[in-house]
This record gives sequence, C-alpha cells and structure tokens, in this order.
Amino acid sequence: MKTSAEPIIEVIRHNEKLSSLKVIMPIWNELGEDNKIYTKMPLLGGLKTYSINENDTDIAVKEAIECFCIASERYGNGLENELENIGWVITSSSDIRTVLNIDSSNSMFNLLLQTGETTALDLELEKDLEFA
Amino acid sequence: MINSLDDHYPLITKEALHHLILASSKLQGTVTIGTTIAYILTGKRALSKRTHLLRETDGLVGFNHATGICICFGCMTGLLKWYEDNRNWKDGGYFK
Repeated sequence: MKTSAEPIIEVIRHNEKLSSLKVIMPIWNELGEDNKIYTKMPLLGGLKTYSINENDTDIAVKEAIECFCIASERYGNGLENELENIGWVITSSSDIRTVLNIDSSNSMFNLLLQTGETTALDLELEKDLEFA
Repeated sequence: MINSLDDHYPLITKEALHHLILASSKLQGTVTIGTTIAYILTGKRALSKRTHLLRETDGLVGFNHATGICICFGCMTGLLKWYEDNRNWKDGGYFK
C-alpha cells in the first residue's frame, strides 16, 4: 500500500505517564537470507526487527514501537525528547497530548519516505508500562 | 556466487544470543513486550540508536542480524566461538 499520509506520532499521557500512542509512519520490509522478513523503521532511527510472515510483521512492528516507548522512558530522556533527537518536531503540545511530525520542507526526503509500506498503529501502553 | 555461499552462513539460537548479550558490559537494560525483547546499549546517543531487538520466532536469528547486534555489544568473539562449537563453522576457516 502506497500512501502519501504524513508521518505523525501522537502521544497521550495521563498524570505524566504514557497512556497511548497513535503512529503513522513508513516501514521498510526486506526478505532476509534466512527467509525471515526484516523490517526497518527509518523514522525511528532505523530500528530493526524481524518476523516469520506478514501477520507476524504487524505484531513485530507494534512490539518494537512499544519497546522503544518504554525504553525511552526508562533508559532515555523521555519519549518526546528521544523522538526530537532523531528528527521529529513537536507541532502541538499540552500536558496530556503531544503531536510530533517530520519536517516536510525537503521534497527529496518526502519522496523517499513514500517508499515501501506505511503503518498506522494505535497503541495502548498503560497496562504494559505497569508490568515493564 | 555470493548468493550460493550465503546459504552456508550459520544461524544462532535466540537463547544463546540472549545469554551472550546479557554477559556484555555494554548492556544498560532490557525491555520485554510480548515476543520481542529490546536490549539497550549504554551511552549518550539517541535511544533508538541504542536499541536492538530480538524476537521469539522460530528460535533462530539470522547471521547478519546477529552479527550487527554482537558488534554493537562487543561480543563478536563469543558469537564466533559459538558458531565454531555448535555449528562447526569458522569464518574463513576449514575443519579437518
């Protein structure tokens, strides 16, 4: 599926704790030599995961993003700061809701981002964070 | 030519790689979500650059992926030793 949907991440916090996340961003899949599907998330600093089939890819991407969110909170400078570090720009921000986009002034960059599939995810993080 | 050689690259089990990484001094921590486990490198770089993922799939990890992770965590020696002991495989080497 090719789409021109703009990459966007919406972070929702309750009492400063991560609660949920809406993500639209491109993912790049590649078939590895061991017949696994290797997925790269270029807008998450090239984070790479792998899966055994297409259904599994959806799970892999979802889990990878969740891992990134939780690790950002635990071992990094918080999710929003970590995203800003790798090129995301905060376009609107409040205590509860932060929206981040990618600077779309570079047309070549935009063109590259349309390569491959785009994933749209809605993640609930609250329960995972408690156990994590 | 290279493609025909690629089939011979060995795969490491996820468990073995897991233990190699856990023994690394560059590991800051791990996060487990479902079938995915994230290993976080120490350092001050952006977190996404420090995050490496392994998954419970068929229990095996591809050669390239395993090598990439082991280079980052400084456990290439352990990885090559494992291939030698368990897969009878040595980079550029022959066994009698």
